[in-house]
Amino acid sequence: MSTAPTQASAPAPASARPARPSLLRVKLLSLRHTLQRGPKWGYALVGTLALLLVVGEVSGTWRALTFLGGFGDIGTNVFARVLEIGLITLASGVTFSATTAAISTLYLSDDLNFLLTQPVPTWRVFALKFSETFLNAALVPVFLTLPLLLTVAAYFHAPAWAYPVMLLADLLVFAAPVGLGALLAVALMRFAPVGRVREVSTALGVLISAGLVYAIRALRPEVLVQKLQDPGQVEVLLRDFAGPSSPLLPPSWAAQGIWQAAHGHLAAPLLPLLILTGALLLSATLLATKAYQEGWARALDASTPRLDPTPRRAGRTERLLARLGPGGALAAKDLRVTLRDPTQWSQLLVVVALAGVYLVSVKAVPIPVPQFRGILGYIQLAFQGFIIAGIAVRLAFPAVSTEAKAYWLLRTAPIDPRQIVLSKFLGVLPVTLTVGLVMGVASALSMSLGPTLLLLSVLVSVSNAFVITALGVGLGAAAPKFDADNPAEIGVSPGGLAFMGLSLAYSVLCLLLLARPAAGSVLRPDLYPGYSALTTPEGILGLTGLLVATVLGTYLSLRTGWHRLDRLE
Amino acid sequence: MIEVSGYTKRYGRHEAVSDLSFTVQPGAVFGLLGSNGAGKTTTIRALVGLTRPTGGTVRVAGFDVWKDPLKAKAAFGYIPDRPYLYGKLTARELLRFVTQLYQMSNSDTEIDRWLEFFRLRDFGNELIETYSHGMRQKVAIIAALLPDPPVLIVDEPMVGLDPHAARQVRDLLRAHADRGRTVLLTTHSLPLAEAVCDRLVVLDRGRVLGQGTMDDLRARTGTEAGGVHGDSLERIFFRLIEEEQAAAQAGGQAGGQDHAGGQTGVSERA
Repeated sequence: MSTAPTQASAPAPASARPARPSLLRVKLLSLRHTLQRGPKWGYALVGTLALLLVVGEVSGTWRALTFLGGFGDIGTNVFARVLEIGLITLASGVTFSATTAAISTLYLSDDLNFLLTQPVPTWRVFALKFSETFLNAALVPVFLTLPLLLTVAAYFHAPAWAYPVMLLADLLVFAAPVGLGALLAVALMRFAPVGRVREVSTALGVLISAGLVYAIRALRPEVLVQKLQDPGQVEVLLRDFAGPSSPLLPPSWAAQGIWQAAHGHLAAPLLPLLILTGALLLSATLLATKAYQEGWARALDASTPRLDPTPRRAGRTERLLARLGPGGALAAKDLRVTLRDPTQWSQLLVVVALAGVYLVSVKAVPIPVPQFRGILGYIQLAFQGFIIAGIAVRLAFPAVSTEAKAYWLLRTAPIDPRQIVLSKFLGVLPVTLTVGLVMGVASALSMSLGPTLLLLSVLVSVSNAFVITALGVGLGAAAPKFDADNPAEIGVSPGGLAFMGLSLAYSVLCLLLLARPAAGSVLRPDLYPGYSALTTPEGILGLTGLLVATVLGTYLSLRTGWHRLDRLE
Repeated sequence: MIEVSGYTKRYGRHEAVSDLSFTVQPGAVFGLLGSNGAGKTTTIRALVGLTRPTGGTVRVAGFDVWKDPLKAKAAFGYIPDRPYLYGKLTARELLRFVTQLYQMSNSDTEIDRWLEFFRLRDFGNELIETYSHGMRQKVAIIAALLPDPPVLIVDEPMVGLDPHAARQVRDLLRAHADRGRTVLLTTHSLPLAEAVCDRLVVLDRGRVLGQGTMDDLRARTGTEAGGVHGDSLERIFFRLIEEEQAAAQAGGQAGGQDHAGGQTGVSERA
């Protein structure tokens, strides 16, 4: 007997030819729904942080321009050079992540199965995915630079046409690396060995990152500090610094275009930037029209299996960790997955690069006056906190989210959310603690700090490592993002920004707690020799405060994490 | 044993499941049937600790899943409808991880036996990301059965399985119950439900339409319905849905005449 739907219940065929569907409109609709259903407290927090950032950036830029303007054209040209360095650094960062972001969005997105099987031209799907790649890789740098550019324009009373030109230059400078990343991604997916594409793209990212480290070092910021100590050399330095820049780098073209637009002139270097970006986008689109669908089909075949029926048993590390119970088993699993997943282990390279650049820079800063060296040595502990936060946002904050859609396995297994959070915390802590201690001790030794400051460096490093790692794991567990393609994008969320803000606040709190004994040991070494500054009432109070802050900060962060994870549905 | 008592789940104003109660005794296979959106998966998710009930209690092996989660979870195995697993682990590594979570000892032989059973022995050292959907589903099934749990909770077990594996799973579910263990499954496959289930609940839009053994349901729905004749579960299913629609229509008309009529749907206790 037939059970087919009757004519009355079946949808009527469309009589008129429907309008061509807009993929972008569908995406925007989806984004609107996501925003409507997202946590309101998160938006409020991000809005507040963004507002503070914009206010700080605008007022900082205005003050810097006013101060440098006192030196005449040379002074404002220094600002132009700083702007150029900033754009080079940000564009390099975008280049570093663009290829992996492009592979994730262009080839591994969930909606491709749907989009690429619809009667829609391939280039339109590619264009949509390229826009998503741009948003993933370049949205934050664009937002960071826009207030600065607008302030520059307002400061120099730029004409109205300059504003869209500056905005265009800002978009082009980041669209170019994204275009390059997309081009590389399409080429890699078409021609690189299947199953090795992510490894190859990660290797490219590492090379670019090494180039970035080299570029930052090549700028030799310590020379600035050295010359600034001699008032006679300040003007020479300013003249040198304001001189010709790197004429072959696209961000330099953008910087010149922006700067001259602010002064009411249309700069010629904008043309090569426009041509380069256009060429990259056109090449990527043309290649994609030919190779996108094919590459996507190859991406579905992750690798050729090497069938081997011989059972492979647990290794020594796994057996050892499994003895600690479910939490240990989870740590063993995490270690294995991290080492196998290029999107995860590449974060470790970024960690090493960050710590390396920091240490080399600290070592190279020449400070002849011992008191100034001591104070700087103490204040730089806050910067170490920033570095630890930078590491934790890549390792600790995504720790729970990297369980991704397989989280159901843990959620339905006999393992407590507390064990999950603790296991993640203890898995990341050795990395942050080691990096923190190495940075604390190495920077203290290289700056020849006294025994009190050396001990404080160690204590603050340990405290930073514990609390910031716990904050990262705890907040990451409280607001996990199980659908992220890449750990790097997990930090770019309301929770991630809240984590960075709180981490930075904690680093400053540590400094404030121990400021009195540190100042005593630096400014009055005759009164407080050896460790005696720490045995004063202020010293004991400061150390106790640090201990309490460390214990409470760690415990409360982790507790928040496992409570929220337990309530997660 | 599974005990669901007055289970209600609301998402905002929408009530996904309303006052659902049933008990599954050891040795039985219990089927949850229903159309899409009937509340089957929502019920399963509450039982395995993925969704917190708005009202009522869910207990597995005597333990409240939300008050005593570790003991409850140690007592059940769960097969989800979509087998998301760690792509960067091999099947052997994943299964070993599961045995470590359940704190089982000497599990290697069991893992090898299960891989052999599902013809996955040659793929056991391959990363799961290279597996087909059906192979992943098999690994998820092994992961649930490996600890030999007293209770097995299964959500659409046959999705993606080839006919051979589908028959194996059907036999496994039956054999698991025959060893005195409890099996709860949701499925759209009426022949599967008919073949393995001892008792059934038919849900629609979060409410119970009918419950009991196949004979109980046949006795209740004796007429031809949905264009399907005979004593099959398919006929029973359509009949129950038709009854519900007719009742809803009658309720709607009555409600139109009398606004003080209140709720017309009756929530049965299974």
